[in-house]
Amino acid sequence: KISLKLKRTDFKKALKAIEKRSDYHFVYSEKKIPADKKVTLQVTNTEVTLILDQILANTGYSYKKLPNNLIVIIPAGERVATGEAEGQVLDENDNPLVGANVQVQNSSYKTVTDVNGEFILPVPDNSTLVVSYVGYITSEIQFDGLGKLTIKMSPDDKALNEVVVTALGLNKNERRLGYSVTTVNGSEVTETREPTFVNALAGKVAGLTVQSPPNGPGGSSRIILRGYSSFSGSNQPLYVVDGVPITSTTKENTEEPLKVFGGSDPGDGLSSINPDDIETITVLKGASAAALYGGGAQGGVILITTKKGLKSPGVGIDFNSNTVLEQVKPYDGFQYEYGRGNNGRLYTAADNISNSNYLTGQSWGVKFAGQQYLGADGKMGVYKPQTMQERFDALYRTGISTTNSLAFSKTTENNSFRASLSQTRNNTPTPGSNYQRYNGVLRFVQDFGDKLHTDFKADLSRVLRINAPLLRGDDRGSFVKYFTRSDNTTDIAFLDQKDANGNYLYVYTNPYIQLQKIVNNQTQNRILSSANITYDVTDHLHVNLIGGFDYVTTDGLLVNFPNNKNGSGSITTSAIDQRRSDIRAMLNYDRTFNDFSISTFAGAEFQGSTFSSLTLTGTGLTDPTSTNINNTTVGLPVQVSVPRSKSHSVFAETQFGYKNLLFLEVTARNDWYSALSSTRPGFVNHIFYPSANMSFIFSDALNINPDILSFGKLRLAVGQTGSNPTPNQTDLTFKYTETVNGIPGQQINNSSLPPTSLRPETTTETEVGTELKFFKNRFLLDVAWYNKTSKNFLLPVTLPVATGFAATYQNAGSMVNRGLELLLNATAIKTSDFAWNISVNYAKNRNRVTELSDALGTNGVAFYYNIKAKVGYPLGSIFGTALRRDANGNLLYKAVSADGTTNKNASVIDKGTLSFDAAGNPLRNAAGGLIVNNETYLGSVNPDWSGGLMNTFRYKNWRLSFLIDGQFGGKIFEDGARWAAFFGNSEKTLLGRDGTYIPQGMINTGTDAAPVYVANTLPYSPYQQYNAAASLAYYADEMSVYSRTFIKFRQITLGYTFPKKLLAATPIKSATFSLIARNLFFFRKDLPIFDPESSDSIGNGYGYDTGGLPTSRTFGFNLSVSF
Amino acid sequence: SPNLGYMFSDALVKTSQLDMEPRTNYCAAFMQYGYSDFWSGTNYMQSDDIARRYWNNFYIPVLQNLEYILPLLKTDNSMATTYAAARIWRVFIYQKLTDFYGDIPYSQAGKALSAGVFTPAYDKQQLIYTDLISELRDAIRTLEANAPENVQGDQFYGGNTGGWRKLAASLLLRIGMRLIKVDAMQAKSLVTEAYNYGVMASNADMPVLKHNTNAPNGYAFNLSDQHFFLHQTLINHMRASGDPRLKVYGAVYDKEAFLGGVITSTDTATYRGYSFDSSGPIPTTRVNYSVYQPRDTPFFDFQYAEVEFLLAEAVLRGFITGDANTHYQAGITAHMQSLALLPTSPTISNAQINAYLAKNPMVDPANPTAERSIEIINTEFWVAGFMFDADEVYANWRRTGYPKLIPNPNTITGVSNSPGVIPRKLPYPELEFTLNNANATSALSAYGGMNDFNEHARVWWDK
Repeated sequence: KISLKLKRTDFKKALKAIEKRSDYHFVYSEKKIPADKKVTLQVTNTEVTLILDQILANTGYSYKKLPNNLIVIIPAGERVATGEAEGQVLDENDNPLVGANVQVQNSSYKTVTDVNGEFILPVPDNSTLVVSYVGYITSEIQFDGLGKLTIKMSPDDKALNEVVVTALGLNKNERRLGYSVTTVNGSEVTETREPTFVNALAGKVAGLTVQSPPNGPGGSSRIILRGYSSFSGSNQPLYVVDGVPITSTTKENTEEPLKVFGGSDPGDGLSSINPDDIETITVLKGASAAALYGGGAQGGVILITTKKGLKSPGVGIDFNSNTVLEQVKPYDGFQYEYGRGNNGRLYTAADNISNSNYLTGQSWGVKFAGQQYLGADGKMGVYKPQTMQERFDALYRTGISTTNSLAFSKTTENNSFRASLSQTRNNTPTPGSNYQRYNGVLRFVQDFGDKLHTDFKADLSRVLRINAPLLRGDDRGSFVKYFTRSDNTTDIAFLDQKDANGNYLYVYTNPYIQLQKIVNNQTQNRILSSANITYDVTDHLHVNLIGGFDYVTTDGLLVNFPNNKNGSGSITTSAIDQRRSDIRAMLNYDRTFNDFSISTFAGAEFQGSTFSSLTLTGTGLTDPTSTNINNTTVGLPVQVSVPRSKSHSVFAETQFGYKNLLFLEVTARNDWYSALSSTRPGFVNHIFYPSANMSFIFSDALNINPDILSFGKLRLAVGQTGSNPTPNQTDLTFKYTETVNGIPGQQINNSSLPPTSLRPETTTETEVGTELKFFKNRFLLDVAWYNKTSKNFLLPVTLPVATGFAATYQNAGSMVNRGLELLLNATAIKTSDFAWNISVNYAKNRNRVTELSDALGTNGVAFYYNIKAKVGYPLGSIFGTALRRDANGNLLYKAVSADGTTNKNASVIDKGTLSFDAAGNPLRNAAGGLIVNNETYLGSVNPDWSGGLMNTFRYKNWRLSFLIDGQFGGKIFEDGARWAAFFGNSEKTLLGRDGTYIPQGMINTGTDAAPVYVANTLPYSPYQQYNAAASLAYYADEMSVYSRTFIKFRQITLGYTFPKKLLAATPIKSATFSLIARNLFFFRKDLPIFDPESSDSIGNGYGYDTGGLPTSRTFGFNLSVSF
Repeated sequence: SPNLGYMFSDALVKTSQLDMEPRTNYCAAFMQYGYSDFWSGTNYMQSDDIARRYWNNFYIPVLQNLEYILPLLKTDNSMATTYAAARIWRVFIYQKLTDFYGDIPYSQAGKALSAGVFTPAYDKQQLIYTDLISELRDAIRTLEANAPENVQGDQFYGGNTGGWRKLAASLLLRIGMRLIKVDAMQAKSLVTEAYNYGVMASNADMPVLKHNTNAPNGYAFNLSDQHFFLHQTLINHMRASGDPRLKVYGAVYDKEAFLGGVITSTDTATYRGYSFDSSGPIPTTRVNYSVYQPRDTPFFDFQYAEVEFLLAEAVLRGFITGDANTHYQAGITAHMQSLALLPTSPTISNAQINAYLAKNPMVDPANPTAERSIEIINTEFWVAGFMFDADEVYANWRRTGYPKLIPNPNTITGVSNSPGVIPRKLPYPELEFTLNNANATSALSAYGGMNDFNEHARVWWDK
């Protein structure tokens, strides 16, 4: 019995109103109801049947009540047969799908499958059952009343393409989206077992560039979406976990100007998250997708949704264990023809003494012929090369990484609970280094009645990095300095030798000093928590409140034990404390009126973050083994930094829909920043970020044959995002320094000059795209083109120190990115036993700096040594000295002395770019000297395009997939190559070693200022070219610039799911075993010796490398068991 | 808001607290005071990492502080003498900078905050000197007019303007004498002017920064981890002259001090220093760490002895009247006595001083010319400038050519400087050619157009 009051209400809505107030469910066919009828009704405490009698009177329709409170609406006179639909829902491997939704079409009448995947549902005959399950294509089955149904579900290869998570955590039907969004399933990143899960996205998402941390597991990764969006900071996207933006400050994206020194990097905000807890990763690449995040979203947004205890009714236990072996691949490109020595001769005893600082020596000796020679140890030995393999074997071990995760979940009608524990231990190939991570996650979802929904989560993690490599080849690093800067003849074991006092015989780049005398440990503890409360005021109106708190503490210890390289030793302890809080309230309203729908929300957000760090350094260890800072005799000044900032925002979004075919959405956000507040004029502390987008389902609108084009959508979007301004830049501040002789000292605190005005950076992006699905979704093509303009760059403009400041912040420039992204997904073969799926992605991005402030002059911005930004060139261009060429591009040589005397009897390639007049003669200055440019554009570090090819084969219970990806175009400045050449170690130093190679071309027999060019007759001297008696006088920067192009066999996995029958007698519900291999080999690699993916910096200095960690391959296996 | 006196004090402290590596790596190597494995200066090898450090540390924070406070002090009537003292210190710093690098940003330097100058032009050294002179004159006048008012943040004279006036006059004397090669007339008039103002007259007038362990002597920090051997050139000279200071300067150690090395001998007869002749005996004699390494070793910013040596020379050159020998002996005496201010209070007795003076007269009986006396005076200047004053000695050597040093014959080839020539100007920081390229390149044209130790790389007064 219900009470109800309706006035001119649609028939269907009237039924819904009754459903809502009663225990009944209605079943009807869309065409068999009096849909046009408007219902006006007022009843109190009346039986539903009586109400129906009243509504259906004189409509020509009738109803029939079935068991289970089901009511069927039918045309009067039609017979209703009823039956019990009984069936089983299976996955692609014939395992039961537990908890799948089985629903009668056009009805809220539904059930879920039990632990055997089975269901029983009393339904009228000829009704349609809709079976759905997350990650699977929803299927519809006609129930004709006969027999037991077996419903086999096909996995949706573009999982969750129906409903996707969008900005601010809102779920939206994909049809409605006017911009590009890519969703990656959590399982794709778990199976590859990268220590930081985000690295596993390499090659998988068009427009997303990933570089693994330059300093080993747990370091910060470099993630760039659609090219650079900013000159400053790290260009990393905003990471949002379960609706809450998290702290992701890395050492790299602090605003420290000219970050040329390495040091420890305790990792970014993602490195502490356990991949097994991740449900999905959603990538919002463009500005309009991310516009609702406003400031901070300039680099795009990556939304991470973690697992809830939803999938399995009852108590579920998931266990996942894997072991991965890691092997470093010896550097290629070293020469083993000539050995230890100097300029074509062997070292003498006198050389050994004067050379003592240069470790063992250089490889500029004579040809290896097994002869006797005087070694670095002063003894005679056999002259033969030490191969990289031998040296790697001596230094590195096989790394082993194990991860065990255990998750419990329990779901009842109104709540679900999930608790997971995991442990990762990674003993890296570098002896003495390891990485450990422990996670404990609690998730509690509870509904209080129909209207109040709550979701609480806490992720507690602890990460230990023991002897983590330091950045940029700092002393505890990759050993690259040893490999490049020592001779190729001396046995590595010799470097481990010490004299009677325990001093190393050789100190220069000795890897054993790194291993034995340097400790670099970091401990990170974190609480990542969130609460999400929704209250349904009515069916159309919802209130949502989200709160999050992210608290990270990182303790670091860096010890240099005393030895004859590190002197009396030093201890540095550091403590970093980062907090980020976020509170957001939203009011949502959505409703459909006939053909029109409206969905709108508005809200407000408060964000606050603090970053405080404390660093203590002491030198002079009194006990050479203790790592306690009290063990030092001299304390250096304490360094403290405490920036904090707040922002307040309001935002709103409205989407209009027409016939589920056309959607138009506008969003707006306004941010107020504490960081832009100033006592000085010229500062506006708020900014507005709008966006608009349109989605048009033309396949439906134009009634295209769905057998050919199943789905076709056109997207159009424009939006704006920005960057959160750096705090403490708007005013001059002062600090106290040491008190000396009773007088305190005071200094300007700002490392950079406060600008006269400051605006947040903004990025405006236009995006056009289409999504096409052909042949019943067998073939999918997604294309996106974008044009992204970023301006008002807040640049840490490095100033000459003579100005009084080393840097300043300026709104100093703008740039544009244009790009194309393609995603192609094809199911090549699909039978019940076998399926072959191909996925290809392609991304092309062109970046160009369009404007820089005049204050920067024509020199542009130097980010890191040779990596610069200049107007008209891409951000991250390499500038430096080029090889000298004539007007036709032929190399010009220079006559030099081969042995350091005045006798110029050898040739090297000259350096410095000349300019020419129309006749091809080099331009000269007023004094007659050559005009030489030593600042020549040598290439961009950005690839022209990148792409990935994923193949997945499924045969019965087996699954095989492999990923090949690559980057094409783009340059790297490989400083490691310079030193490998300087020491005569790289293959390229072989050309001309025997003194017989006479390069063709012109040679300057005059002076630099007044050259005389004649045809060359002098033999080439690689020694002078690359070494020039230790002064690098003839080494051009161009010699260190290489193509970055590579094609890599990124990963292969082979998985086996145990058949249900095998497990029937066990408590195991499902079990999967897989083998994984990553980074197997390069199909193509243009950069000799080093890994083209390595870089000193993950910030804007990206592209300059001093020889990072060597490439490592991983092999492993993974076992997942559910109970 | 900041305390201007505190900021001034900080500038004084930072002058000697920050990295002093060019003073060792280059000046101490060039002047053959010492040797270390880590020094590129021994081989006259340019190293941007070293050459830029004076530039970087003087412009920020020392000049940053001064340029910030000067406009504020100028308008504060109650701080006239502090204003004058800050101007004097600015002259002190800029002279060191320009003597090292030649033409440098001066008139437009430090103007990023006040005038938005981000690429300051380089001024000709001659013009810089002209302005330094006028700054000193102004400062002296201000100090005279406001004599009772204390200098705030004063690390040297307890706020007493008298000390600052003498320091300013002594700086003017230093500047005047610097010009003997380019403008002897002006040199004479400046020296006379300075002398009439009243220069330092005793060790008590010396600006000495008394460091503490929290604000250590930057020189000591440099020494801490390095194997600083004395140079054989210095040992030979001091042994021959019977110099009692040699025991204070260095000692025989069994190994590096930071590895627990201890002094095994202070018998100067056994001292072996570093020699360019690699076939010579292995060096044993290191700098005396107990005197020069402690973090609270005071720093002598401007030695009084220097004033006396300059006056002695000025008399011989006829710039001023007086007794050159009196100034010469006062210089040596003052320096020997000033050592007592250093850790362990090394004392040179009056008897030792007198014996030394007797053995080392200003007039060489074998060559009693004024020029020979000038050589003897400036060689004493060199001995007295050991360690802290190596940069001033380097400038004085370029000015006078004394002491006569035999350059390292084993210098490397491959740079535009021919072997065996002691460099006479430091290269500009390489970063200048990135950040201030047009100005730096233009300045470089006066020095051979190459940013290295080439034959044209000499400062203006060193022609």
